[in-house]
Amino acid sequence: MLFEKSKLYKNKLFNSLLILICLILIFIGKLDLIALRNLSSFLTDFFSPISNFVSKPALELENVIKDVQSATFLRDENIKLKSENRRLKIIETKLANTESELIELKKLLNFKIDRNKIIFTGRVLNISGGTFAKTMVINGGSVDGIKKGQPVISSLGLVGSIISVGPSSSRVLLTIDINSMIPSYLTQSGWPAIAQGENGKLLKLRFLSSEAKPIIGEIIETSGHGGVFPSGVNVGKIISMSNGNYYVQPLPNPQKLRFVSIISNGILDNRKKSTGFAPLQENQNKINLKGFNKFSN
Amino acid sequence: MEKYNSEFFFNNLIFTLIILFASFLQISLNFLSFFVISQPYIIAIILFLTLRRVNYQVSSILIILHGLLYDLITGGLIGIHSLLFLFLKLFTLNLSISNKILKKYGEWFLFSFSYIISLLIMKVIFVIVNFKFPDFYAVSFNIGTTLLLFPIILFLIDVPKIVLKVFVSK
Repeated sequence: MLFEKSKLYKNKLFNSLLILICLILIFIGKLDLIALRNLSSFLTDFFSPISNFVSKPALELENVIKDVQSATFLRDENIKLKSENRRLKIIETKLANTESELIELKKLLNFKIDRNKIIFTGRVLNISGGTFAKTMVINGGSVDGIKKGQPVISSLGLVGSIISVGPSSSRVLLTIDINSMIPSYLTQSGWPAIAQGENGKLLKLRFLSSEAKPIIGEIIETSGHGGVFPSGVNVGKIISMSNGNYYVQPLPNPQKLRFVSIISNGILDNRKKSTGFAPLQENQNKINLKGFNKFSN
Repeated sequence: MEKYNSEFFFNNLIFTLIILFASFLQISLNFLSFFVISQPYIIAIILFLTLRRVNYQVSSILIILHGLLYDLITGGLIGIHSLLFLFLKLFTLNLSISNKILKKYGEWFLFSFSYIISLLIMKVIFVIVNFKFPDFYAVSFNIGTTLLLFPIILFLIDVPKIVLKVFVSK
């Protein structure tokens, strides 16, 4: 009886110790140590071929579902596409005029154009969409010139940013991750805000001025503040409002992405050339900007 | 002793391979548009079934290591899955209420109880560590899909037994 009690006590003590070790691990993880980051990059790199292989049946299944869905709605889609085509032709002629005007005005104003260049277009190897993290692994790494912090885009808009780089694969922190915060602005009213992920499928607009009156359907773009993301990249559109909070639907759906592009915004490499949507003031000798201009030093 | 060691090593190796396969399978599920918000925890189901049905005691340290490996592979917060899997083991085997639930309501209820409690505790820790509230809809979707997937996996595991029974009876 006494032996059993002592065994039970020892067991409880051992389990408590293990829980404590796990909690310590969580806090160590939160410290974001370089060694752990490198280990994570190495393991991602090492397991990416296996992960890619195991993902193939799911990918094929998704393709079959897509084919069946498209076959079912083929007639409706055809009608919709024809009307959309007519509408786009009208817009195209209007755009051509506006574009030529814009080029002329830019020349007149001596406007400095952002030199964002795509440095790599890679295939999506896997997407981790658990309830704790929303990341994606792509098949390009340090050998392809990818660096930590570089923005990742698709044809529809912003996908996320690079958080760890291995030799042949990199991990992308998706915009919907709880740790993702994107400096943005509302395209119609021009108000700045931070689009923050919630580990769900929507982004929440934070630090939005109380004077701002966003419209449902309004497009959100990156503002370029902070120098991580280039300005003018589509983030998503406002789809709902509840309790005074506005929610944004990201335009690229991570699950439907097969290829993404990593861009060098020319800001991380040379911060003196920072040109955001509304750039912060340049460092001047007489004005103390209290740390805002530390990147331009 | 030697036999015991080799058996112990073999069991752990098999368990590791199964958990690794389940991890990659779980990650691959995110390509399916059905799991747009969150993918179900196949690893949790496999771990629960191993704990309940296999005649081998899974080491808690091995469970922590698997959680750690999963966090490193998926790029999540390190240690979060170690604790989740450890809680799942403790709630499945070590609580007196677990045996009562198992006897009264069966395996599915026990899994639901262990999984929901473990995940909710982990979410509380996650909120404390991050100072941010995650989307509640994503969490409930994850719980729902995982609980729905449990009987399906259970059935798939039992299929060979059912087929064998049919053939033997004939």
